[in-house]
Order: sequence, then C-alpha cells, then structure tokens
Amino acid sequence: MIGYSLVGTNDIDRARAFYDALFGAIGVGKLWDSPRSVAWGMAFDKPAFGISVPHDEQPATVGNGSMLALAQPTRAQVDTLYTKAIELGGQDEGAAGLRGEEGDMAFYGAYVRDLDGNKLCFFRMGPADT
Amino acid sequence: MLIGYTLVGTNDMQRALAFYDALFSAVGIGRMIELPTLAGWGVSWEKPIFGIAIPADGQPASAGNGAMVALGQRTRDKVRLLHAKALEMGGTDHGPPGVRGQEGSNAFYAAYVRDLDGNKLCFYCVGPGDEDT
Repeated sequence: MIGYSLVGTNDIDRARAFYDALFGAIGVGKLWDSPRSVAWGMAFDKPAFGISVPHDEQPATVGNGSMLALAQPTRAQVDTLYTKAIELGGQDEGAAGLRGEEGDMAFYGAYVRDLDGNKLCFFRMGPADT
Repeated sequence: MLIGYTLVGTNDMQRALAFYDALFSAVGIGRMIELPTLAGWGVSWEKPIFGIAIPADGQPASAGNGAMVALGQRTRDKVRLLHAKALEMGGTDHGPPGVRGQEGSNAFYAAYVRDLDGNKLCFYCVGPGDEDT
C-alpha cells in the first residue's frame, strides 16, 4: 500500500549525494531523478524512498514523530548503512543492535538522522545472520 | 531494501486512531499494531506498514515540510473514496482527485490531503482510467 515516501530537503544536491553514497553501499540505485524529487528503490513495483523540495516553496522541515524504517535482509546490511550514514555526516540516533529479545522475531535496528535532520531507521527482523 | 514502515507524528493518539481507522476501513484495511505510543495499518506483515507515533523525545509532534507518504491504490475509485473520507473526517484538502500529467496507460491519478496533525498524504493510482480496465 505504501507506494513511496518522501522526506524534505533544503539542498537537493547535497541530499542526492548523501543518499547515492548511502544506498550505493548496498547496491540500491535511483529510480527517478527530477529537479524537485529524487527516489531510490529496488524496482518500480516496490515502495520507493525519496527526497523532495517542498511543494509550497517554504523551507523543508523535519516532522517530529516522523520516521522512515528501511527493512534490510541481514544485520550486516543494517551495520553497513548505519556506519555509512555517520561517515557521510548523518547524526547518530541509536547504534546498531538488538531492541528487545534475541530470537526468530528479533528486531535489530539502528537509527540516524540525515543531513536535513530526517529520522531514518535501518532494521532487520529475524534471527542473527548465519 | 524496502520500506518496512513509515511513521508520522501525532499529538493526539486517540483522535489519530479514530481518523485512520475510519479512513483505512473505507478500503478494507485494518490495524496491525497498537501500542501506547504507536499504531500501524497495513494489508499484511510482508508489506510496508503505515503508522502514527507519539514522538520518542517527548516533544510535540510536527509535520515535516517536504515530507509525504504516498499510498498506492488499485483503482481511481479508491483514490476518490479515500480523499472524500479524509475530508469527511476533518482532514484538509491539498489537491482534489485527478490526473497529474497525461492521461494514458501510465497516467498518474492522485489526490492530496493533510491529516488532523498536518501530515501530508497522497493517494494515487498509476494506470488508465477505471472504466478502461
């Protein structure tokens, strides 16, 4: 049902470079790149994540309580994204690790904010990587 | 990598629950998670979940400018239904249902609203008009 989800940016070139490098680390490319909106994803029939310049021409702001959670196939990939986001200047909001109990439905997550302050979560639901 | 879930903030969990319960039940979608500070709706656990949350930092929730969650629908009829329902529930209109761009087999038919906390949503359907399918 979610087709795509956008966060705002005040510097689309800087944001594009950030997410190109971030998602490039796990082999995910751009799906579209227009002057006001850029998005990344696996395929057009899967939900895309994107950045946009606000439609109303006012400054982009961060919604408090808003968060985008990007599911990963392995815990290692959560670690990769978390490390890369911080290397690229993102802000740490919670190190990669288990939240709750270990097990088949364990939640392994990491939290960061991008260069515009938008909050992201990278997570893997399931047992430890084998 | 997929969107697992996306959350928007609320300052009134009960009001937001009532809004989204009514909105999504209009298209047959129910609640999947309900915690004291978070609730989510979706079609199954394998699909991305849309949810509302009370901010983790204890500060007031706010809507991000430039942020938008777009919910894909199978028909234009459902786009119209969701837009009408959102307004009926007190949401604000940010663009009535209609084709953005060219009509055709890949036409983008969309409607835009803000919820009771000001979070922007898009309901859309990509494809030809319903009468053509």
